[in-house]
Amino acid sequence: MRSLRFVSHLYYLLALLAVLWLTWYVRDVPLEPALFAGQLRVDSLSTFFALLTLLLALVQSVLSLRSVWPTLLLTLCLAGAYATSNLLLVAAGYLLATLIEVVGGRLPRSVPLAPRAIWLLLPVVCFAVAVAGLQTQAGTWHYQASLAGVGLSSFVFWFVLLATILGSAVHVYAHVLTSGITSGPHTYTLAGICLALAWCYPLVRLYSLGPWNAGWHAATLLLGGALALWTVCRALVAPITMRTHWLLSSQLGVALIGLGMGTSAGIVAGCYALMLVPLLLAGLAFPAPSQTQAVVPSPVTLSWALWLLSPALPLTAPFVSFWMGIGAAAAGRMFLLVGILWVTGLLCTLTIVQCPRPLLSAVPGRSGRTVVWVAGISVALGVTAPIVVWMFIRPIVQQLQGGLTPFGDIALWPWGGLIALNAARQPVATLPSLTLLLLMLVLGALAWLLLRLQSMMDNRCG
Amino acid sequence: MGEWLGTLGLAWPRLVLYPGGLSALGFAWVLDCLLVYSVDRSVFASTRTAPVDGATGGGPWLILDLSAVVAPLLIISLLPVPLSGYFAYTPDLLVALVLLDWPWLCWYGRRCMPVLSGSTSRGVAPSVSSPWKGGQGVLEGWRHLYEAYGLLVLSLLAVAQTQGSLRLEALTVSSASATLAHQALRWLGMAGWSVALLMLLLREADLDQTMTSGLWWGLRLRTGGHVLLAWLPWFPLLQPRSWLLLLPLLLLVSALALVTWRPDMLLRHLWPIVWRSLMLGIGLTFSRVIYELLVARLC
Repeated sequence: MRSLRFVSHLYYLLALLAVLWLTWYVRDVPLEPALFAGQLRVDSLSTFFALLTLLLALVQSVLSLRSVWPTLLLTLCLAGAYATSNLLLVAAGYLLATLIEVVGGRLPRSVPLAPRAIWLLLPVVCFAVAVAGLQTQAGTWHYQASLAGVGLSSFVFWFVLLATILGSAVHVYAHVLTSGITSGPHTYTLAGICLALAWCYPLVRLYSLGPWNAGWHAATLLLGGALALWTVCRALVAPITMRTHWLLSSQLGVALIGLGMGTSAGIVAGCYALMLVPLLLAGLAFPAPSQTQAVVPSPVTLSWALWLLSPALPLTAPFVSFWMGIGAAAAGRMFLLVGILWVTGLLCTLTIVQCPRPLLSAVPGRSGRTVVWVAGISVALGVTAPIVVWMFIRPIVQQLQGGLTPFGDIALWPWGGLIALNAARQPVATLPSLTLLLLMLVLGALAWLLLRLQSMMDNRCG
Repeated sequence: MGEWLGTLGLAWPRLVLYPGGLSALGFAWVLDCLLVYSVDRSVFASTRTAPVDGATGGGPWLILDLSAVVAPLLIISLLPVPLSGYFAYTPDLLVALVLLDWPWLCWYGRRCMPVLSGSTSRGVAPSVSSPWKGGQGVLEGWRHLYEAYGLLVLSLLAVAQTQGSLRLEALTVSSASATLAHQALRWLGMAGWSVALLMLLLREADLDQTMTSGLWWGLRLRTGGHVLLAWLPWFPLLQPRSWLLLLPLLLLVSALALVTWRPDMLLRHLWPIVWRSLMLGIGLTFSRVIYELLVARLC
């Protein structure tokens, strides 16, 4: 079993390398080989979601949240769904993935399968109805066909949105999915985050068909905002084992807000928020009690590490994610949305900052050192956010440009950091992350001198 | 890259002299002298003789103390206050607030650590003494903090809505606001911002063995930074008469000092009324402005 798990880790790493190479290859022009009767189409959005799915699968495999084979098959089905332009095949891929999700959990036989199966298959049914509607109105199954945009109607949009909300908000009705499971229910729902993230793909893919109606944007923003705010409030008061689920759902809600804005800035913000889902899962998934005892870092280091996973410091990835969402909303002059994102960020900070106390009393295990590593990755992702945006997310924005509106962009600020621009290309929000880091180092030296001087004076007086 | 390095190299007067560095530390010290909190200073004097490395020693606490000083000092250095010169890489309101409140988070986190408190276990949320209540009111203290922060965020959004931008420089220039609702929203936003500071900044920590020099300076710099930040939106009103620019700053500091010295006289009864009126006023005006925007965009 351990050797099988090791082989699966190796497979994920090799697949990640392959997807990274593909990401570089399709950054300008999508790949449409003549294989399989022209059903294959790989563009930047496909490789981005494939990358995130593989990262999530790797994290879940390392944390032993699910058996090896279901995770492997799930990633294969989802990768197949991302790599095709035929929406019928996409729906088939999601159906297979959902069936693997239903059947492949480590569940006792006494737990009823039917309620869980129904809730997990509902998004698939909605998506299938939408795809059928699109084919009826446009006469084609392919989203990149020239007349496919004709089929983008309210009927199709609402069913895709419903599928996305039902699929990604799965933790909201986790109590139905986990009824009857007595040990480790949180393990089961944390394993389901892979499919929950995958359900954001169909909604973004709609931008390939054409621009959206204003009402569709409003509906997505409303539902995404409600999901983000409500789940973060639940996270604040939840017991420690359930807190991660609610935080992950909140992160998906923030991503939906960004993706629903329909501007370049919104897509950048939404995609960056999705990138944080594997990070938060790795950092905040508390171990099952059967983990072996290991060296635990000091409480100070642990609490530091958890704070670096919260939006409390301007150099961390969660802060940059919220800044991007707020910048995108400000660029579109939607300051009410700015307020919702701001409050969500504050509550997220409070939730994570309160974590050290229960963590110190939990069973020590591998997660102690993992949190420190993940915090380091969070800082690295935050400081190098301009490079991440330029390499992974700008190609997506360029390839989806046909469906986006010009009310906002997040651009690289040469040698400074990131800058959010409105429709008139004027800056509305600025994040000079590299400048702040360098100036902080200089001021750190000054502050150290000040504190030394203070202690010398106190010792002399006292 | 040369331009960026040049800008950073020319920033040293901002970091060391004005508005950051010595000026910021001096302003924070003056505020500390003026805003006399009702706490036992003899306790604090004994903690300040502890070494800089902290009671438990070690690198992580030193980094925490340093960061508590560096974060607010950095943002004060980058504020576009008068006579500070132009700096091309100024952050925005969100970054400014997060950096300013970092010392408070450090203090809160340090209080939450059960290891540090020696014989007593402090696994519960720290109590925050309030000049209003004159004692230890845990639930009331946190409720007032949430109310103050809620009013602060709403006021900031109101001001940002009228500017159309979250940048700090945009606060200091007048916006072309044509309608009465826009101007009313800006005035209400500035009023709400100033009032929220009165409750936000007068939350004095219990001075015990968790307070170190770094945290002490950090909390004072936080106060100074918030006051300076709240001074910025007043510039467009006083541009024609630049000799009056210091007036809003003096008024804000006087209001803070007055409320600290005479808490019973003022807002123990007035705070709920003032808070509710401002929240309602800003909320209604915001709705009106958003309605006008939607009408302009959709029709």
